[in-house]
Amino acid sequence: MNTSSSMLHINDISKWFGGLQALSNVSISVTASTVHGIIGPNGAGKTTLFNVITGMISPDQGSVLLKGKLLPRQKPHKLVSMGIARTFQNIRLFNNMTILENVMIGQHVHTPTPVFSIILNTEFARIWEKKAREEALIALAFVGLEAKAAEIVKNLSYGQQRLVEFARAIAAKPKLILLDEPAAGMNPTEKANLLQFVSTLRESGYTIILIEHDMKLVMNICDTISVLDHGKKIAEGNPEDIRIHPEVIRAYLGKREPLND
Amino acid sequence: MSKVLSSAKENFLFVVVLIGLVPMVLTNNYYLHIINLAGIYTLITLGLNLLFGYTGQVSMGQAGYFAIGTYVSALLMFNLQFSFWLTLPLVLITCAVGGAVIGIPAMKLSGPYLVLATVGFGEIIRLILLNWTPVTKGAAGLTGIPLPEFFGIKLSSEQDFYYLIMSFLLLGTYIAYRLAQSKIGRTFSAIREDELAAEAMGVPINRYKIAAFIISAMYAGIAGALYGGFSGVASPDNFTFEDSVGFLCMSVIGGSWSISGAVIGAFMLTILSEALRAFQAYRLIIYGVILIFTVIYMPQGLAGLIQERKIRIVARLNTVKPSGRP
Amino acid sequence: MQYILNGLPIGAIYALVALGFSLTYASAGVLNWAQGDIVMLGAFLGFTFFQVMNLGFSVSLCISMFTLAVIGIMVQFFILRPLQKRQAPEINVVIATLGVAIIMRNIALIIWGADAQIIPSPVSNNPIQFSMLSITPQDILIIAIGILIMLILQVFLKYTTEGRALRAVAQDRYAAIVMGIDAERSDAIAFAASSALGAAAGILVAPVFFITFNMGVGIGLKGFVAAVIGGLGNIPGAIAGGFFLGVVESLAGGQISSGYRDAITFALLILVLWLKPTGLFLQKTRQKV
Repeated sequence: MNTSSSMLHINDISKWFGGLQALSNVSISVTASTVHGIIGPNGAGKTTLFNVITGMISPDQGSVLLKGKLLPRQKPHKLVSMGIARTFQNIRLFNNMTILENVMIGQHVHTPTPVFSIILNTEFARIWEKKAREEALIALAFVGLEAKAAEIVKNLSYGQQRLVEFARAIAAKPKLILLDEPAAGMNPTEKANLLQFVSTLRESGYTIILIEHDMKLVMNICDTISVLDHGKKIAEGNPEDIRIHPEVIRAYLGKREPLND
Repeated sequence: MSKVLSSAKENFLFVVVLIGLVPMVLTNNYYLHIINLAGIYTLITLGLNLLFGYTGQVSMGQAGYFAIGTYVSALLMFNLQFSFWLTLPLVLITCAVGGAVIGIPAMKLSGPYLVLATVGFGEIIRLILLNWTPVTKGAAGLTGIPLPEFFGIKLSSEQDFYYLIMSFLLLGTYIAYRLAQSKIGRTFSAIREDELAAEAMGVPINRYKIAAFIISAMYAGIAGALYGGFSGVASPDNFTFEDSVGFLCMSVIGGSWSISGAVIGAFMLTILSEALRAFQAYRLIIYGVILIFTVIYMPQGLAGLIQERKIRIVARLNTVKPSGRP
Repeated sequence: MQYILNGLPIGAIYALVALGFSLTYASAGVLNWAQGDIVMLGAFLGFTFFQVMNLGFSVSLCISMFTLAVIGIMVQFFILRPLQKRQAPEINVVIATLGVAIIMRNIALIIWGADAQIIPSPVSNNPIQFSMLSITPQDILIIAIGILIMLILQVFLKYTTEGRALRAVAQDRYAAIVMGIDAERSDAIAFAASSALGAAAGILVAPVFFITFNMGVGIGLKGFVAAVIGGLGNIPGAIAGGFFLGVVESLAGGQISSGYRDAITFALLILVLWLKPTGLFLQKTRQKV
């Protein structure tokens, strides 16, 4: 594996939960500024892999490198400063706070927390607060929600909440964004917008890894796809190759027809 | 509209002047005494709101820090002849340590487990105070705690204490407000809402949780130091876990995710407690009923109720949908 | 060794109170702050029936348990339901139960006054010696009745429809509702059962300590500690936790110091929580991402 051009290098990761092996020697290399999909039937280990990357669980074997730098284990809060942001399958927003506040949290590592300046309300504190606010609004503009900045998150629609999560991830100024089933619960219009959105992210230079079940979406947007089944990587390549890959078809359908949505 | 949006600084000055005038209007010492007590309790509640309302960490052990404040201050004044003011930094340090001591195990805990750990802390403090007789005089407690002095004048009357306590209260409220409105307050709230997500966004949640414990401890400690001079006596009986529960009630009823809520809750419950004193046992029954009522029908506390009223009024003026911010 | 034996009767009582806490927590998700005062009411009612009205001990026990079960159902109906309907945060429910506790305490004060009362034990308090250890018939009675009640509870939970429904609700409330179980009825039963358990604890503890209107605070706290040690919501854990606490207290009080005994217990508790945040006997549940 050529690791010099890869943004993220997942290196021989294995993980056991009790007697069950959730991940088995998984190695994936993600190229910078591409959209890399990770798919597989339910229980294949996709979310476990995400959790290993983001430091929420510790692998029993293997390592993850971001641009050659080893990612720390079990320290999820260090991820952002290393350049990784993520969204959650079940949308984890700060429900009783405003959209703007939610996105401003994404800025946490990029702004200082000068306790005494804050208490004395100095220029320094005010400037940084203003900056955080502006950056957050920019991130919101990216997803088209800047007009609703003062709304309380729990009052929003599901689709809007997903967008807020994206904005919050962008506000963290990552190099790599992990999207955990971003299309879950979306209607076709929203999915089309998502496609557009991910495409724009790629053009803006972000590297994106996404877990998804919606095949059409995955085939349309991903540059590379890795397929997991029962914790092992069974295939990797561009959408065309994956679509007709016999192992993949067998894993999903048990038949030998090419993969469609 | 202009009333709602008048300058914060003007509002503040107005309030300060108003506070300053109170003792001249309210000459009854009994009422002033109640207000003074309420002021002390408000300091505790301010800290508790930051810890519980904002950061979401329940603490039923604040009486422990309150006690530490009183005893540390009093003992330093007795044994080392410190002035009241000199004891304050040491109270802050001791309480900060105390806050960390419970904050560190507490950061892994939530819900009833956290409740229990904080109760345990408060009880351990009380039991140490009760049993460490050579230093703390045990059950008999401390008497004759020296009065604080201000440039040589002993502060002894209710009026004197009023100004002292209100000064601390204004300062304490200001600091709490600044913290709450800042990135720090926002981060605290994020931890309460979803600490996993906050962590994924780069927030070092453990550090912030411990900080919240330390801050709340320091607030209660200062309140304790003031209480020592104010009441002149202190015994472990003043700092039971029932008192801790009382502080939590002040927080919840006033509105825990709110700085003004701390003031409202502490004052309301202190005044209510006194007002009902005549009814003896029935008084506490009424207290219990009010507690239940508030928690069912005003879950955001009184401050939340006021906030919703405000939002509704502004909305009616602007014909914009209210967003129900607690 | 004697200390261990001494700790058993109070351990049985703690176990009963702990069961009360765990039952309501498991099924309704409620930390019932009034549990301690339910114990107190049980004790006072037992006093009234046994001492004042001269009904037999067992009769007093049963009527007291029944009365408190009814009170428990009333608490669930008038206080828990409105809170559940409004999706109140957990802490608000705790405070509501706190209000109930305060009300119970002061009603007791009004009815029975501030003086401490005592129930004489139905059996003798003279220690029986065997080998190097001694135990009183009173202690044996407490342990025996305590265990009997726990067994009845286990039978109830395992073999009756209501009991199984309760366990279903405790495991997964929404799934249980979807399967047609009336969760609110289960809650009422949970409250009834834990109140009855509390009442039993109250009557059993009455011959040992003085009954005062204030006793609920202390014993409620101890029962809560025991429940947490065993893992809150874990039924067998509550029993284990109760006995564990009773024995540890006895050992700490005897071997180390009686004044600091509770402080030691709490310090131990905090240590346990630090190492195993969900109690000694409960598996740590993994957070779902």
